[in-house]
Amino acid sequence: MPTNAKGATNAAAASILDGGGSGPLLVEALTRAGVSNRVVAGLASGDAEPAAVTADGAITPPVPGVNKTGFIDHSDGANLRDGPSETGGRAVHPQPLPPATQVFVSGTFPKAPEWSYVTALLDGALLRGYVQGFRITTDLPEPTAKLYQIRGGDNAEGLAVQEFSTAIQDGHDLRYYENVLLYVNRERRRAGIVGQYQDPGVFGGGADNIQLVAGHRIWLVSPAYAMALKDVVPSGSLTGGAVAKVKRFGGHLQDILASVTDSPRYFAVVAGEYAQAIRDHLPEIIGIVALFVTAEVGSMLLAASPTGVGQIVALVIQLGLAAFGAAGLATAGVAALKHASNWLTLAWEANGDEAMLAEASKEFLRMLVAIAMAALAYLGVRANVGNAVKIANSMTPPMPPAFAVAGGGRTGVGAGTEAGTAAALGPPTPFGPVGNAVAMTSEEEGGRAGGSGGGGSLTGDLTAEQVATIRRLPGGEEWYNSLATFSPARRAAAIEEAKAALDAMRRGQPVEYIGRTVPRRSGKGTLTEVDVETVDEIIQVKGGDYSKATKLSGDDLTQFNNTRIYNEQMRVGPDGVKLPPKKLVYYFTHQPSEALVKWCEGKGIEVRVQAP
Amino acid sequence: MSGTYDLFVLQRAPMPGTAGVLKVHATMRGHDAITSDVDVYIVDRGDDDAEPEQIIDVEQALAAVSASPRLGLVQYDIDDTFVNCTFLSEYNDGYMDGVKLSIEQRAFEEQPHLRDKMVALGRALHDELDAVRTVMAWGVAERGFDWRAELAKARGGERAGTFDLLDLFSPDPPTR
Repeated sequence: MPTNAKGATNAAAASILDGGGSGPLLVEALTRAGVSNRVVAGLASGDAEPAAVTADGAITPPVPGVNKTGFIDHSDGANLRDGPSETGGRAVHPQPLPPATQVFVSGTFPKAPEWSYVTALLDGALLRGYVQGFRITTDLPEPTAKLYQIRGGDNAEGLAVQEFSTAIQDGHDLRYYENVLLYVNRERRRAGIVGQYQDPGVFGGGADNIQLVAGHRIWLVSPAYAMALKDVVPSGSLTGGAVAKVKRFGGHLQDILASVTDSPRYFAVVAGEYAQAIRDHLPEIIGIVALFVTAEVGSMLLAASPTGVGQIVALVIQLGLAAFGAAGLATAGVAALKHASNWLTLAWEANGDEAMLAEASKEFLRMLVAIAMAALAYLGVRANVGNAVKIANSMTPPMPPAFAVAGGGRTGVGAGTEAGTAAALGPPTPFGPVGNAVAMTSEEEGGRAGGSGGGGSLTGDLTAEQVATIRRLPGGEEWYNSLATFSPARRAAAIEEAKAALDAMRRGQPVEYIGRTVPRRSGKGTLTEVDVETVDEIIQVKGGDYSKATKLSGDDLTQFNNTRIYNEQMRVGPDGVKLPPKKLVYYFTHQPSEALVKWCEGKGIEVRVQAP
Repeated sequence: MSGTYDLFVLQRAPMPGTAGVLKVHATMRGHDAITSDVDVYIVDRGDDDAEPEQIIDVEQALAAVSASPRLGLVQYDIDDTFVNCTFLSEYNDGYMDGVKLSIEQRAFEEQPHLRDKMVALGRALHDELDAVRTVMAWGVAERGFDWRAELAKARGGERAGTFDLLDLFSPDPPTR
């Protein structure tokens, strides 16, 4: 039997991949959790280490204390090594990190501080190792700024369109954002942008007089930061108030990063038997979490109020599990969720308050402890750890120097890629850029499902059993996978659909589908959408306030008409014979007016109202 | 729930319904609205007693809406997806104060490019109609967005609420 985590992982994987146990499940779980094919293949062959791992499977731990976001700022890029080249350090990745690759600098090499320990995202893989410090810049104008490698053909207007088109307002047109680029990069003395401010009315220049210099790199700031500069850029007047306002930009993000990077100070009071083990790996963990927070969810954390916290919590825990070698584990338990949620909430609300940040750091550590315990249990090595045995010694390597990030989404790093922005999340997709936020089944009493933490549960007040029931329905898995991608309001609506389906089942109606899109007769495009379809009923769920409505109107009326067309004219059996209409049910989540009920009944609609 | 993604464009000042409807129509046409597949325009004049009409000719459809004091709704088509276009009249007096576009939720979510198209369309309408406020999100109407109240606020210089897909506020005329 294996005596350490690596052995356990290999043995489990080998057994599984040989056809034993729940092999496909693990492979699927690993893949879905974002572990690269290379790693999965490595598990299959009994070699858990990616090719980039050094012979002894370890990278010398850094001297911690830097903890800054940075970018590769050298035209040749930077080789990522397991140690300084002067002492025989070897590359952990076949190609150098390209210019403008985002990194998180955790510390330096012992006795060679000119080598920086970094975590980087490259082509969907998470890499770590040492690079020469002079090849990195950590002089970011704002926490979510990105360094951009200028290519031939790039121009200031094009970059402004690319980066700021979603933020353009009257009085702040593209020329304003070109001015922002010029201003920010002049402040940082970047050579990649030259010229004079646009807008003759304000700056006395002409049009198109800001130029980019190919081969150089410049900073691209977020649209939110660009807007925060509006009191600075147009006037050029750096008044105290304006400067202070800009300097406060990204305060939440900075506090969250501080809560992570300051966490080592609180080991003695938090981590207990796991303190030493986690301490040994904290520079790596900090690097991963900090890079993830800044590169992938920074824009969410710039919002006026925390949004998507549930997703962030889920993804951080997933990354933590992967970091501890348990990427295939979909749940870290309610304790990790609780502490993760507390960590983010406390840090978010700290506003620089040291006491609150200290508490946030402690919650971060408690989350790590919970993750570590879950990972060890998953890997089957809990019994080998014991009070005096370090987790570190149980895992070789504790974290592979390279593993894929969840979802393999766009990170916007490196030359040749689209200029990255803080808004890398993009439109919500089931397996979006930040990966599939695996909803974790909590272990709370009552068996509530979801447990996404601070942002509210993914599945609301549905029980785990109810969620499982819905997921088994046709359309149920799509329903479930979509939850993590929805806004809270949209998610709440989806949960109401599930409740309508459960209500139908309680009435003895087998559900044929939840969330059906009905194509037009031509087969092209969508005629309408049906929330729940049972053997005998077509159910449309209606939220909102219908207490004063006297009839369905507007969008509701067109939907009703199209639903009726589907129900009465388009449903045919396998033999092509038209089927009789089903009962049309409108399921209101709040009591509608009597007039509306009467109107519906006059149209042959059965009205149901959700039980309080 | 069978909700919609809603885009509201609220004008700085009312304009005659005919002019407003044609302006919106031209803007939508310039943004891929109305494909060759559309052969019927469903028109709801907002009358409590009237059923939606199906009108084959687009000019007739627009004229029918323009002629109604309440204005009303015309169903367009963008990339084989219905887009309900409701012309808004604050006092039901035939003057147009804004427009609301709605797309059923799943069709919108399953076609990510629609988001970009709708945002671009929203920006274009914001400019064309000289809007003071333009917002887009899921379920704006369903969640109680009272467009008349919001119109009054926006015209009074107040920016209320935040909206995740599009959130434009232009309290003053363009200064350039």
